[in-house]
This record gives sequence, structure tokens and C-alpha cells, in this order.
Amino acid sequence: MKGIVHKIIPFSAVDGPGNRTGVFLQGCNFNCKYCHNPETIAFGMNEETTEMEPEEVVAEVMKNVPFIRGVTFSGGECTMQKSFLMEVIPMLKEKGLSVLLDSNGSLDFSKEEALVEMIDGVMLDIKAFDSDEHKELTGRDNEIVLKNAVFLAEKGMLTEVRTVIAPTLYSCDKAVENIARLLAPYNEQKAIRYKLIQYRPHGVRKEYLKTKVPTKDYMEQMKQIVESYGFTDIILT
Amino acid sequence: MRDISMERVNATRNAILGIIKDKKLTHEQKVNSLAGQADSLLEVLELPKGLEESMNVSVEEKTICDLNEGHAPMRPRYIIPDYDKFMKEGSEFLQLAPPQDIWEAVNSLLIFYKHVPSVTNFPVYIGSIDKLLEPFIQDEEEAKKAIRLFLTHIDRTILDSFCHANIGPEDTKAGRIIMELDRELQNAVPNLTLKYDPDITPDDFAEMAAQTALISAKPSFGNHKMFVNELGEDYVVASCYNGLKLGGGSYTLCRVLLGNLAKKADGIDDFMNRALPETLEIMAAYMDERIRFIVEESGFFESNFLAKEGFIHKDRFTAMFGLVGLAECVNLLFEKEGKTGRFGNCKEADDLGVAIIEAIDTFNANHENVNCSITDNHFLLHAQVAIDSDVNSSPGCRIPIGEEPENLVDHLNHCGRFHKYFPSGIGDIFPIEVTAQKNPAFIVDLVKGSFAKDVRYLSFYSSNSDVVRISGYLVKRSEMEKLKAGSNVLQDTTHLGVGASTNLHVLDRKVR
Repeated sequence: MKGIVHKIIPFSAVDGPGNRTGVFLQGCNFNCKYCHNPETIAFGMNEETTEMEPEEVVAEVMKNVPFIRGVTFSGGECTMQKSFLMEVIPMLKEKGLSVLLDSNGSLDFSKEEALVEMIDGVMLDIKAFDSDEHKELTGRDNEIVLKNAVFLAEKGMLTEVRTVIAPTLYSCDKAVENIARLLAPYNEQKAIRYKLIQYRPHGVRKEYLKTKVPTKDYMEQMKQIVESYGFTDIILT
Repeated sequence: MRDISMERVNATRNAILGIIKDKKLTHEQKVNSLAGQADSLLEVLELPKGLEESMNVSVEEKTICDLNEGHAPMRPRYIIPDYDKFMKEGSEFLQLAPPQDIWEAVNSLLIFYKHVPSVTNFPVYIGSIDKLLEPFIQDEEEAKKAIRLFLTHIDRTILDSFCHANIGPEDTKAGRIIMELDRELQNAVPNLTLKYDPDITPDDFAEMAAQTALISAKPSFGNHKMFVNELGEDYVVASCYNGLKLGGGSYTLCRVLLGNLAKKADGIDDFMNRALPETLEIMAAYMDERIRFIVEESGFFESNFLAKEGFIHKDRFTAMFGLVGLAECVNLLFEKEGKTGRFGNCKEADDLGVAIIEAIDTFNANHENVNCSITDNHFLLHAQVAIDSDVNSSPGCRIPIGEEPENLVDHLNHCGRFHKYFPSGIGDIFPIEVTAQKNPAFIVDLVKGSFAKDVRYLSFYSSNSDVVRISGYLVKRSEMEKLKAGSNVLQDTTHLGVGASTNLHVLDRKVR
């Protein structure tokens, strides 16, 4: 089956550890206010997307070997094209490449044994902790997202947790603290990387251009909150 | 000795007075420049036929260049002393016994460096400093202090960033300390290469090197396996990125300006069958003569303590056959043939580039000089990094700045096509976006993949750092600003940096 691909970035330094090819799939079931690539939200084809067979994606990725260590599927929300992922991922694994998913956590991974078995990890975007704030920010509830965080952490598959820091859109300090508290016990088993992403207006929709960018000091404060729960691998970006 | 005109004598006298009065030169820089002026009055070399027309013409016309090596070379261009021998045995001439602790070790090396000449009058190689210092590290804090002073001393007294140190491929305490201090000090001198072999160098050590490079533009990564295969275990990386033998060096480096040479040809056939072979012959003959003078007339190997005490050996010297402007050459030849492809973005154009390099490689394989016995009596090919006065001459085989392929993968694959021909040095430089600072494994992946595809040498720096890589040496942006504002500055390479950023647009490289 074909996948609807928005873009493939041959070399990325920001989509997981090392050098990875980023495959950005079209379509997302969230509608985050601060989304910096809103053109990837709508499902289906448009003038920017390409329909690709799994073999075609693999051929594109292989052009970047041996310079990459793996592939990251992102988007949009890549798990919305689950069947496509389940066809293309084994082909990439066979080539010796690691595969990570960048996900909003809306697909219950505990019910997706086959998919989870074939990947090397998930970079999970936890947008907010409080359910109401999460709905206000993204249009969807976060019960499954938090369940996924724990499930993946237990399995040692939580490669990275990411939260965008935009203090005028939701209470970041409470969210970050609660997320850190939730995942703190799992740091002993395997240090979880927490990436705190400073909101930036690049690429956002018009209505959000004036949303406040958090200060360096504020970002440091968020980092300290996470550190206080025993996290040692924290990236501010 | 041949006579020269009074006109030339007077021009030289005026130049000397100009140097003496130049407010933009430090005292040391003046003294070095005056020595060059004195040398310029001599005409003692037997110049091959055709050299005058190739070399002593305008910068847009010259096809052969000796990089101001001088009219009567009094020492080899690059000298690579065996510092291990010095650390184990000391030196009679310098009245130094072998060092016993970290302070004696750094002190001895700093003294020795002051007695190592080169074309710049400063040492172009200061040792595998991690291996030289590692045996003396007892207390790490004390070692850090000593090495911090050592590195600062080097930056403030070896006033030229062609001075090059090596570390690796093994992980050592000394190597880690040196990199930590580089991140802190961010000095332009010394230049630094990590001899990198993914089978020997642990990933975390390589990542530290990448992270250090993104802060202070060094170390660069050298393909250890590739160099060892061609030059043996006792190779070093010196000056810009030159592969040479320990205890030896290079008598001379001359270069062909391929872009200018293409101007003199009617098309590809005329270039390959007439212009190129003729020029290669002239330059090889010129290099033979320069070598003859150093070996037979200069008296260097007979009198200099480095040779007398066995820190260098005449039979470990070779010579470097250099070139620049391959991109401009290919592009011009294509234009003359009515073809539209550009070097770096068109396979056919790149194929022509490879064919030209192979022709030069074949020429060198057939040219013999018995003073280069260490490299089977042949010169080694070298991709010269251009000089500040060059106009429209990309370094070596590099893709011109401004025409870099959109995707880095294509650029790296391009490097892989050329690097294998240049054992005495070639390298490519990539400024990296700031976000990669949090992910040094990104750089290590690029290096691993590149080295697997015959890339020899890679340098990285961050798009926002003060220290930047010009073409094969480092300069601080802040020092360049001082110079442009009229002050004199400590390192002569800052002058070259200002020239290069104007003429060679080195600050406009595509950021990856």
C-alpha cells in the first residue's frame, strides 16, 4: 500500500540521535495551536505531497547510506498511516537501519505489539499533562498519550520525550513537573532524554505569530524542574 | 648567481622600507617579511624553460605557483621532527635531558618548538601531543593546568595557525584534556586533527571531538585507515592537512592553477593532450631543481641539529605536487565545448574532473626524483587550499562556494571521488547549523559514512562560532575585525583570513 508523504529530509540532526533520514508523512489527528508545520495536518493528497510505495521510500532512504544510522518517521502523525508503516519498516530494518517514530502518542502502543516489535523506539510528544489543557491546546484528550509514556518507558522504548514550552498557551511548569514525576521511576532502568522545545513562531499559522516566545531564563527554570526529578539527559532547544 | 636590474633592487628597497613602516605588522611579522625580501634578490636556481611565462605573470594568468617559497630555499618547506625520540632521549644541542614529569614535558616541547623551522618560520607540526603527554599525567588537575599553559603558550608564541597537532586514534586522558581545554580556550593555534578510525576510536571520544569542533572549529577528522594504508603507521597530519612521514617532511610544495591553465587551451582535448602535460613537466622540473638546491647547496641537512641528532632524516622527505582550481578548470572547458554542466552538480563535469586528476596522478607515477625515496621516488599529490590573493581558484578539488549541492549527501559523495588521489592532503569543510551542537553523534555518523566512501579529511565548525576555518587554517572572526579596523594582530594567518574572506568568500559557505 502507498503512503502519503509530505517530505523526506535526507540528513537530519534534530530527529533523534545521530544522523537520520526524516520521513514526514501527511495527516495528523491533533490540531496543536503552536504547530510549526500546519501544512502537514490535513489528510490526503495536495500539491505538496507525493504518494509513494514502500519500495520507493526505501530507495530514497538508501541514497543516504552509509551516512545515516537510521530513519525517523514523523509528520504530521505518522501512526495515522499505520499499515504503510508496517510495510515499509521491516524493509528498512532489513537494510540494517534503525527506525524511530516521532509520535503524538494518540495510538495506544500497548495494543500494537507487531508495530512496537519492529521499531527501535518512540520519540513521544507530550503536549500537556492536564487533560483540559491538552484538549484546549491540541483538540484531543491525553489519556492514551500518558498511558503510552509509561508503557514505552517500561519497555525501554521511550527514546525521547518532547514538550513544546509556550507559557501563554498552557501551564508549562505544572505540565513539565507532572510529566517528569510520572516518568522519574523509569530513569533508573534507562536514562530518558527530555527535550524541552522553546516555542518559536517559524511556520506557525497567522493567529499564533504573536504567541510569546519563552525567555532563556524560563527555559532554564523548566530544565531545573525536570532535573529535580532525577533526569540527567535534558536538552533545551 | 644571475644579475638583476637596478629597477628591481630599488623596488625591493622600497618594499623593505614599506614593511618597516607598516603599522599593521608586528615586529616578528616585519622580521619575517624582511627575510623574504632579502631572498627575493637572489637568482640561483636553474629555472626550467617555460617557467617564467607560467609563474611570473599576473594572478589571473599564472599557471604555476611556488607559494613564495623563496628564490634560494634554505630549509625544506615542511619539517616533521620525531618528537617521541626527543621525549625519550632529550637533545644535546638544546642541552635538555628527557623530561621526567608533566612540567618538564611541556617545557621541553615548548623549547623544542622554537627551533623547528618551516616555510612560515614556525613549526608546522608539533606532535601527537596526546601520546607525548599521556605518560606524564599523574594528577589530572595538575596535568590540566600544565596543558592549559602549554596550549596558551603555543597560541601566543607560534604565531601562525598552520601549526598542527594530532590526537588519536586511541582514547587517552591527555586527548580528553586537550579537547576540554580547546572548548574553553577557543584558540586558533594549534590546528588539530583527530586521527579517526571507527574500529579504534570509541564513539564517545569521537562525539567529544565533534562537539569540540562545533565550539572551536577543531579537531578535524582524518581517515586513519586511509593514511596508514598509503603512508604507513608513522604518518602525521601537518600544516593545513598534509599527510607526511614522521621524522621527515616535504622539501617543497608547488601548485598548478588549473583554472588559469584552462584559459590557455582550446578545449578538452587541447587541455589534456597539450596544455596540461606541458605544464606538469615544467612544474616537476622546477620542483626537482628546488629539491636539488636544498639537498646539495643549502647545507641544511649537514648543519641543522634536527638532522644531526636524528630528529629528521633526509631520506624521509618527499615533495608535494599541488593543484588548485579544478572546478574553474572543468567549468571553463565545458563552456569552451558548449556544454552546460557545472562541477559539483553534473556527473559529466565531475567525470572530467576525475579524468584530469587521474592524468596528473599518472604523470607523477611516471616522474622520478631520487630524493623522494620514502615515497618510491615519486611526488605526492596535494590539493592546495588556495592563498588569500587567489582570484577564482577554488581550493584543490572543492566545489565552489555558492554552488554547493543542496543535499549534503551529494557533496560528501563528490568528496569521495577525489580524496583518494591526495595522500599528502585534501580536505573539505562544512559549517554546521547550531542545532547540531546538541547532537554531536550527527557529525560522527557523517564522518563514519564518509570515511567508508574514501573521504580522507573533514572539518566542521559552527555557523556561529568565533573561530572559523578559512581554507586549511583557523582564524578568529574577532581578530579579523580588529585587523580590518586598523590594529595589528598577533597571528600572521589573521591577515590571510581577511584576504580570503574578501577574495575567496570563505565566510559564505553553505551551512549544513
